[in-house]
Parts: sequence; structure tokens; C-alpha cells
Amino acid sequence: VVRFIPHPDTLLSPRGRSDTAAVMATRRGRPPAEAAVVIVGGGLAALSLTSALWHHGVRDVVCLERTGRIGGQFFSRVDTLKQAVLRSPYDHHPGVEGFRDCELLDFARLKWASLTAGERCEVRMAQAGHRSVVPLDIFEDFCGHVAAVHGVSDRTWTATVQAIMPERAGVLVESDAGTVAGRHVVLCAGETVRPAPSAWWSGDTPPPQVVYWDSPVPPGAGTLAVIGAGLSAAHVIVNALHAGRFVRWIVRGRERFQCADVNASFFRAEGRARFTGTAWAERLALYRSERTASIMFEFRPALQEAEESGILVVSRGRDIRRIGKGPRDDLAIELSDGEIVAADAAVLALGTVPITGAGLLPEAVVNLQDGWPDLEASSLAFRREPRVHLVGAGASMVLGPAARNIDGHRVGTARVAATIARSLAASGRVDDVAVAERPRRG
Amino acid sequence: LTVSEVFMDLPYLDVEADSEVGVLLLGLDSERLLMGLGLAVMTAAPEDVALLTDKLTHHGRVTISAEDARARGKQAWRAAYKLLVAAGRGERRSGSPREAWAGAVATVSAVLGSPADPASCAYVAACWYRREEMVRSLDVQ
Repeated sequence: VVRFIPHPDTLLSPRGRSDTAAVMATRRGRPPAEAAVVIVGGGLAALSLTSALWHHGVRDVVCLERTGRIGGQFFSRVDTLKQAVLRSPYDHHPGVEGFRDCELLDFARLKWASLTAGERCEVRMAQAGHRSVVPLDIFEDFCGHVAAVHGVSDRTWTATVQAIMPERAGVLVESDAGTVAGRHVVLCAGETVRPAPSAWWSGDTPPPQVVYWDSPVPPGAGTLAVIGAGLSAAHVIVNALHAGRFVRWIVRGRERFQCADVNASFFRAEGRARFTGTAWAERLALYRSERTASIMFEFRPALQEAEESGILVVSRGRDIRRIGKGPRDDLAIELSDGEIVAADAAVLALGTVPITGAGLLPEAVVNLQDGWPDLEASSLAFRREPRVHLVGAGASMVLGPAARNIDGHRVGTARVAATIARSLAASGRVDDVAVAERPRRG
Repeated sequence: LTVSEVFMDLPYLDVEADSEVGVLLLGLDSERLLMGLGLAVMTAAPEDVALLTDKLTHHGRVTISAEDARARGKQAWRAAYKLLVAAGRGERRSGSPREAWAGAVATVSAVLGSPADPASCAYVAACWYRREEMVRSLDVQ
């Protein structure tokens, strides 16, 4: 059987990054004291949500983003990983559907002259309905276009949110730049880096040579240990190999290569229905089985070749018992079978943890169940506080594993934006709804 | 599972950017085509005009208002349409968008000459290919 495997060249893009600093920069200073909608987090989900609200005529929006740049964390992470393409296909993009906005695939076709043959091939793959990857500069340019046409940077302030306090008159969002009272608040805060078990080292913090995948690799590390089995681990390994390092890859299970990080069916309505129409226990089991680390197919040849040549040594199926100081002031990583892996530095690529609202909202509002917030499916609002919504990975028990993906953000924002627009109109706050626009077909 | 060198045989990878963008213009609604034609004299590249039109439809103004852009577009399309009809040329209709685009561009270039701004040529060609609908848009708007 011959199976189609994407060529490794699809991981490359020759142009590097785009310059969208002007349209993606957030405002400095004190945000307004009140707004119809306050969005916590200014990443790709917030970009989609602000755009969707714009089309619903809701323009009184204050978005609070800590990095000083729309999508700052996302682009910083892909920069650290030296990621040139996104494995989210062309039809997964920030922005809205149904309003005839320019979508990412057409945007890429408008940039046709600058695309390589391989990138053009990916565009045609997407047009034919196949899975494809997107060059990062095209994606970033597109984000800049979406931000510009919907006035997102004008509505986004640099601020780190410290607490969200529902009050009778409104929901107070407290940040280091000031407090904003919103009639609705949407948590679009994304995911944090998954920490390693503290039992891996003595004390509260890891040894100084140990970093997480979103930080630069310590310089001068001739031998690098990489712990993890996902796409971030693959990027760190390939970058280290390119830099001439010897890599010890520790995979606690076994590496898995596939196109997307979750079963593609979950991006479609019938896939999401597997979550909305099933019992909680089934959803938990489904999530655990489908949301497992995987690496894009395109990495496989390089990793296989490196392993065969001996510059990459892989330890499979063994857990970490301890990470401590080695005999040469290096690291000694003890595996569950007793083997000691020596390395000059280690990168932990253990995935991410969804932000659920815990720690920001009162515990009673979040009402965690098995670690997941208690959300109403049609509005993605917290059941115990319907003025506060959540878009992103934290909605995975409603939308399935696709909730953490850009396309899942769009599904989530469509529900949230429609709910908020209806609520504002029903409450007589017509000043919040500037123009009642409806999706246009065709 | 082994890595294979199997490539899908995908069509039109080497088409010129003008053609790729032109095919995209063929699918725009009449409102955007007219506004794009109105903006075309301001920006030489048709792809830039398409994005500028997207901004115009959201903001109602870029350097000119949406109304002005629409009015300029209608004026330009009305003038071009008269010349194209008077020339009596009709290209073969094709089910292939790229052939259709090439035919429309050839007709527009032959009748109006090679325009100084490629964006105007591209937008007139798209209007010409969709002329039944675009003539109606002149009547109703």
C-alpha cells in the first residue's frame, strides 16, 4: 500500500516572518473604566471574537493583552521554536465566517507571486479539500489584515489581568493597568506551559540548565536532552540537530506521527456533536484518548535519519525518575529503568494546560469538575455566571479537543458573539450595537 | 509505513500571479468589483486593491469613501462597457476559470489597449466576464 506522506519541504518557508508590528501593537495607558464587553487575553481567539463582535455591531469592546502585541504569546512561541509553517490548515484561521470577509486561503492566493512552488502546492491542496500547511508570514500578514479591518488594536490595551469579579452592576476585570467594568467578559486566555512534576528535582525550581519549550535553549549545550512527544519537542530537536548538538530524546510513551494533533473529525460539526451529545464520563474518556501528543509527518524523515546516524538517541517508553546534577556539573536524568542520561541542558516539552478561569474568577463560578469549568454549551458562558464566557482550550468538554485550535476558537466565538449581541440588544443597550449586521450568504 | 516520494499531481502551480488573482476577482460580488474598480487607479496591483476593498467595506472609507469608490467604479465600468460592446468582440465562454480569465483580459486589452494600471485592467476584465450581472448593477445602483 502506498500512502501519501507530505514532503519534509512543507516545513520550510523562505521568507521568515512578516512585519505587522504597527497593526498588531496594543495601546498603552489606562483602559476605559467601562465597556460592553471586556476580553481577557489578546491572542488569536480574541482576534476572532473582536472581529465577530464587530460584525454583530458590538464595538464597545476593551481587550486586555499582557504582551503588548495582539497574538504576542502565540508568535513568541512559534519564534522560539523557529516554526516556519502552521499545521493548522488554510480553513482554520482567525476571523469570522459568513460575513464575506477575505479568508486566509484567498489571502494566500492574493500573495501568489511570493509563494514557492511547494507553498502553491499547499494552496491547491487546500482548494481541493485536503489537509495543508500555511506559511507563517502569510498567516501573520492575514492576522494583521483581520486586526486592521476590525479595528482590533484600537480596542486592545496592554494589561495583565489579575482577577475577574462578578458584581451586581457588572463584571469587574482588575488588571495592572486599571479596572474595567464589563457587562460581559470573555476569557480568551489560551493555555499555559504544562509544568513538570516537582518530584523530578529537589526544591521548588528545576536545575538552571532545565528550561521549558517556550524558552531559548541554554547556549553552549553540546548535548541536549529533550523530554516530550509533541510538535514542540520535534521543533526543539530539529533545531538542536541543525545547530550541531547531540540530542537525547526521552519519550515517556512512544512518538506518534500524524497530520493534525487531533482527529480531523473533531473539527467538523459531527465531531463536536460527539461531545455535546454524550455523557460527561464519555467525554472525559474521549478527550483523553484523542488529545495525545503527536508530531507532524513531515518531521519523520529527519528524525529517522538522525537516529540512524547516531546524532539522535531516543529513549522510548520510560518515565523520568529524577533530574539532578551530573558528575561534570552537567545534568543527570534518571529514567524509570535506572538508566542515567547525561546532558548539558534539557528542554521540557510536556504540552500545555488550558486556562479555565481558576485563579481569576471565584472558585464557585468556575465550579471545576475533573479539572474542567462548568460551561453552558450554546453560549460558552459559565453556568453560575452567564455574563462571563470562555473561548479556547478550557471549552474542550463542550467543543471537544478542537476547542484549543484556531478553528475551535472560531466556533466558540461565533456562539459567544451571537449570545452577547442578543443580550445587549435585549437589555436595551442599543448604543452597544452600532449596526445590526447579519451574515450574508453567497 | 514508509516515507514515499509520492506527490499529488496538482494543477496550475505555475500560473502567473495575475491569473491567480484574476480568477479570484471573477468570484467577487458586484459591489466589491465596482468599488475595487473605483479604487484601482489609486493602487497598481489588483491584489492590493482587493485587500483595500476589504478594508473599505468594513470602515466605509480608506482614502476615499465607499460611495466615492462605488461612483468612480460605475463611471469607469460604464465607459469601458460601451467601448467593449461597440468593438463587438466576444471571447469564447469557458468552464475553466483560468481560460475565462485569459479570454476576458485579452478582450479588454485588445479593445482598451494595455492600461497604465494593471489593477484597472484586471477589474474591468472581471466586470466584462460577469457583464450581464454587472450591467444590471449599473441600472439598480
